[in-house]
Amino acid sequence: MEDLERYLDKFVTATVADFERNPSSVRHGFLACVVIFHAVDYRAYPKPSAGLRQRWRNSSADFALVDKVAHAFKHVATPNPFRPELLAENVRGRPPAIPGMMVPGLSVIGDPIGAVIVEGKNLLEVVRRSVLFLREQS
Amino acid sequence: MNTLARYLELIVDPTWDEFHSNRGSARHAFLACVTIYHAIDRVAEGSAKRAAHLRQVWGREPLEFRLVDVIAHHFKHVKSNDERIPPSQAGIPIGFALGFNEAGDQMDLRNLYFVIRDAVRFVHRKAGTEHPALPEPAPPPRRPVTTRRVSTPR
Repeated sequence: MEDLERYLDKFVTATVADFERNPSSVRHGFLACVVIFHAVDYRAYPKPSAGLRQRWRNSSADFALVDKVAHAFKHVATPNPFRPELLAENVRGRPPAIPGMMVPGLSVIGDPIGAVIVEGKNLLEVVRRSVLFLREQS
Repeated sequence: MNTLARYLELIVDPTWDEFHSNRGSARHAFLACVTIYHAIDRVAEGSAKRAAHLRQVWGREPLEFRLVDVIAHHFKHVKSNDERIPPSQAGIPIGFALGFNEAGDQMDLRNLYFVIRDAVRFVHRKAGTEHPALPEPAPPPRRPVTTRRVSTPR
């Protein structure tokens, strides 16, 4: 499993598909970010990934946000717990505005799908663009 | 989501449930292990202990948490530190115990299912909670104490 393309096919694609089916689930969003972020280890292997991670963060604002979300999820806050850039609790689900699921104050009228919102962005769109970025790197 | 009990309810339990329904899937096993492993960060967040310290302490308790740690790091970083046995050092790579093959790219998930199940129980014990579908197993019944009757001479 040291090959990025195989990792993308076996792990990333299926986990992102889970998130696509559950677009307002924070859990599915976090898991998608974790598997996307760790693609950097597969691309860098057997070398350490720290340098490549920084280059990818500089090249893609979407990958940089995925990195932040993955680390907020794993470690509660990211990257420095004393000066956190992002807290896990600031990644929020926005339920769809349909009967039985709509939450007043959270759902947006006319939105039948829902979303996970981080820093004002729809996480699923960020995830999709990050996957395209990863495909360019494989 | 930052308290351990809430994290288990919102993240670990549903991820375990998905693995339970897809127990032949290495991807679901990996996701379950990652979520179980990072329970440690929720405990560290609420205490003065660092996650690295708790990792060592929890890793010494049941074997299951240590194994889940290895699997989570195997997938995250291609190989976990525990698997990097220098060639000069005698020993069997721990990945073998988990069902990884020599290359580390294939794994046997039959036994891993039970390892992950017991790790879920372990983190729930730390929170003082239970997964609704994974109650703690009943302790084995105690054998009745029998006393041998000794006949006393009259």
